[in-house]
Amino acid sequence: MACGNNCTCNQDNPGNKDNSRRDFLIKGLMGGIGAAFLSGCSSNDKSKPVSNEKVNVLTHDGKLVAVDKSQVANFKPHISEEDVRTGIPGKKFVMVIDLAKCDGCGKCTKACNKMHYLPSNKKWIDVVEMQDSPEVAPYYFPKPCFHCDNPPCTKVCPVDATFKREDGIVAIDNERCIGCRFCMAACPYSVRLFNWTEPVKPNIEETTPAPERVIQSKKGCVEKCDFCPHMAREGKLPACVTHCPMNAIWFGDANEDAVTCYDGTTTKLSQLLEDGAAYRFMEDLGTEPRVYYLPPVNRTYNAKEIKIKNAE
Amino acid sequence: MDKLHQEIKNSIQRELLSTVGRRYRRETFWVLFLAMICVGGTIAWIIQLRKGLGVTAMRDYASWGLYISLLFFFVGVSLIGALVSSVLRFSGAKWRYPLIRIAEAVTLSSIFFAGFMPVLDMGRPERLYFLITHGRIQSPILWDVVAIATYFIGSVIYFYLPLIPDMAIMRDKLTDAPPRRRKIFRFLAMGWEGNHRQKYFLKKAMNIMSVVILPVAVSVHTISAWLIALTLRPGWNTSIMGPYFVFGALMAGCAIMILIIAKLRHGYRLEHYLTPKHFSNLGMLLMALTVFYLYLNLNKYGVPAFKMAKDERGLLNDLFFGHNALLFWFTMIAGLVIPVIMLSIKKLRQSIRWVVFASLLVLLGALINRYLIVTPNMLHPFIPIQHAQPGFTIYNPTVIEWTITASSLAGFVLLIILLFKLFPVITMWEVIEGVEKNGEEQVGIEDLSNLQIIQGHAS
Amino acid sequence: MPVKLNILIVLLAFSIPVFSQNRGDTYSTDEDAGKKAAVLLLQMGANDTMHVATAILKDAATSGPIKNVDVTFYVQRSFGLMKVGNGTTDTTGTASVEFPINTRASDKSQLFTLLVKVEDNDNIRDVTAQAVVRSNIPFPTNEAVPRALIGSKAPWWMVISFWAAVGSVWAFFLYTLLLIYKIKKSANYSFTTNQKK
Repeated sequence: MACGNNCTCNQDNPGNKDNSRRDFLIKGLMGGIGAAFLSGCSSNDKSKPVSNEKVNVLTHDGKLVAVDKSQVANFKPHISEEDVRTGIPGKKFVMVIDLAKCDGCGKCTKACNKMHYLPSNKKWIDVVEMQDSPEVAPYYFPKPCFHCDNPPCTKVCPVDATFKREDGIVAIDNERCIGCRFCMAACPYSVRLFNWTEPVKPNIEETTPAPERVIQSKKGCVEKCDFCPHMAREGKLPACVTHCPMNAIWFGDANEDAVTCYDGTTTKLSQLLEDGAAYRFMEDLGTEPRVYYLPPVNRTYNAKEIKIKNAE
Repeated sequence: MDKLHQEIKNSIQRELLSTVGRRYRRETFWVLFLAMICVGGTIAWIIQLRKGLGVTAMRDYASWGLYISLLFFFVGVSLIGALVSSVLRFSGAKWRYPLIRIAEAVTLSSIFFAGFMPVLDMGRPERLYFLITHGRIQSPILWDVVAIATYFIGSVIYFYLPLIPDMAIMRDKLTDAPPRRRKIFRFLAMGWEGNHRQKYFLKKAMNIMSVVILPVAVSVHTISAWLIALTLRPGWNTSIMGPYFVFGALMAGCAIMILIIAKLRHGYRLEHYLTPKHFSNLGMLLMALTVFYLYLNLNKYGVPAFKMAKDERGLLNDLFFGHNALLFWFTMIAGLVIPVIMLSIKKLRQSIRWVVFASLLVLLGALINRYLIVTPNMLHPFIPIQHAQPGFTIYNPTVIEWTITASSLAGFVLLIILLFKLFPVITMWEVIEGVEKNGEEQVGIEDLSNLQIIQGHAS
Repeated sequence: MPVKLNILIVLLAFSIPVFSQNRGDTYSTDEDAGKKAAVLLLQMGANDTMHVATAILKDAATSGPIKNVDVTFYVQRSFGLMKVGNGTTDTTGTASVEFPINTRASDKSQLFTLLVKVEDNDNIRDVTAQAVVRSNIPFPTNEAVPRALIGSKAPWWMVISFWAAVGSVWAFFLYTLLLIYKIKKSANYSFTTNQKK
């Protein structure tokens, strides 16, 4: 039985980023539904301050029970090794980047670095200044991992450390990576980074299997943009999207045909791609990226100010 | 041709066996020198293991450097065994007899280090066994590992086969050797006494191996070429890579073969067995291979240079006029054109000194060429490099890298010397058999009627 | 679930009082003080090309219709609410919108949640109603990553050809080792006849 069927629970402020109802149910189903679970949350965590915020919860026999939100929030479902390798069920993540809106402020990079505890010299999403030829106007080009559907990097990995998931994400298992760096050579977009030395990172224990950890840096292993699956599991957007003040980055689920941006605007993916004449970067390589770009037409910033500084 | 007199046979055997286990002052110096470099390399490697690959100059853009260049070099050099013991065998060149074991020793040593280089380059070498436990056979790395392992084992077998009768000779002749050694000789000789059945089986085994080793050898290097040709990078994304690597490898192997036989001839006093004929023939072979490699280079660089596609432009400009122009034109002119001219002059080709000089140039060019294929290419990706940290846009190998690289090369030479401390340099029975069937002229060794004089210095 | 779903109507009015009550408990702010509570009902229907959503707004106290109030319709998506239309209630308190029938479901259950909201109204407290709607177009199934070059499992033809190639070479090696063994076995075979003097 799916959650929407006869479950009619609701919550206060069902705003765009608050998705805990659905989320809770998914977790509830995953963590073993029912009374055992519910008794678990009502008997434990007595010390937690009660928020008076009620959430309606569906029990295994179909009854609705209102419980305090504070008792639900900390429940973390167990994510198995297999879960992180197959991906989030039913999802097909996709990103759309509107080059007309990106003004190169670099807040996406900063937010990403903050979320993944990366030093400033590492960039999972890099804003590159592009100019296709001298006479045409330059533009900013945010470059995350493209999570290709025909990924050259997973093809060459000798130990299945980087792999394609069913939800479209190309993930890295840093408990597996042997550091041969073949994937870096194979990636035509120079997206992958290597931990040449012991990375600077906080001492945080993460119980999630490696591919969905917040901190991916590990000495002698490769890392890259992971589309924030740990956020997606909670129904939240990746850090770069939620920190792009220009609403230039859209993220969503292609199966639902919807993408969402910074201010919560959710729009139909197919419509956005069609209306914006979207394209994928270097389509001719045949890598089938999951990141679409909207061409930099009618830019909202002064393009002439972009200074291209390519390294020679 | 009459059968050789037993006396002559005996003296050939005595002479050729004299190098085994014998101490040469110069050689001892070399062994110590090379061993010292190896110790230095081991220390450097330990530092690298502890601190991570950050001690190298490799960074996110140039993520492969000297180690992978050297991998390609070693894999390439290893093809010489197949060239001598397979290709020359099929072409019926009798002068290969004295060269067989040297070629196989070079192959054995280089393929060993070829297997070692990727481990040096790995970020997490302690996870090497994942290749077996989690291996994906879609990955060219796995093909490479399997091919290198297969070629290594094949080379061991092929090194061993012609050794069986020689081991029997050692078992029978070196009666004053320490008992433990004699035990080893007896074991490795496999009860060889040269009867018809044994000869039949040995011939059969060698026939099989000479056929089987050829596709293995070619595949080893083709797969190495595919490591880069199977990517979408500009410069690498070309179908010429396989043949380009294979012929570059044969050329480098031939050059290193000439250098090593020159050293052995002089150091082990083998002038009667490794004669100017061998140098001239190998020089001819080297010339042919170099001409062909020049032709492949014209295709590899000339064709994209004519078109100057946007993605290739940066790399080509860098190689032709930029940062790497000096190295590039050195490999092209000093490493290919000049040796071809030198070797095409008959007079020079017949002079051992000139052939050696030409080989040295070719070898140096081949080494640099491997580097030029790998690293400068990585520094010219599709998406322009921007906001890179200092040091990320350029590759200047560090002392640690140079030390490890030097010690790998030193180890390669050291292993060859070690093999010739254990086994005779020249396959005695094959040379004798060759001379019996075809005469000294064909085999390329000096007239055996002078042997009395030879005995003089060999005793 | 009934099969004929395009005329499915889900009334969710009973959930609204729960909602309103919660809302009152949590956010009883000054802003809401002078506003009146309302009940929102959502009714779903469909024709061949469009879903039709009808919202009816009633006064919570009197149950009379409230007119001239803007209501917005959303479809619940993974990361936010996708607006599908808006309208203003008429004299019967009714507003309705049409949105494409090809709206995708949220998951395999083929269902999605439609919400209708009264937001930021000067006279009426914020109120929401939602309905679970069945989508007519099949939800795309995520194909498992196939046995392919990109996947974890190699394609069968590659497995076969790889091991055939490697295996045949190794078979020859083994045969060679067998020949070496035969050499050993052949010692003393014809000891005297082959001794060359």
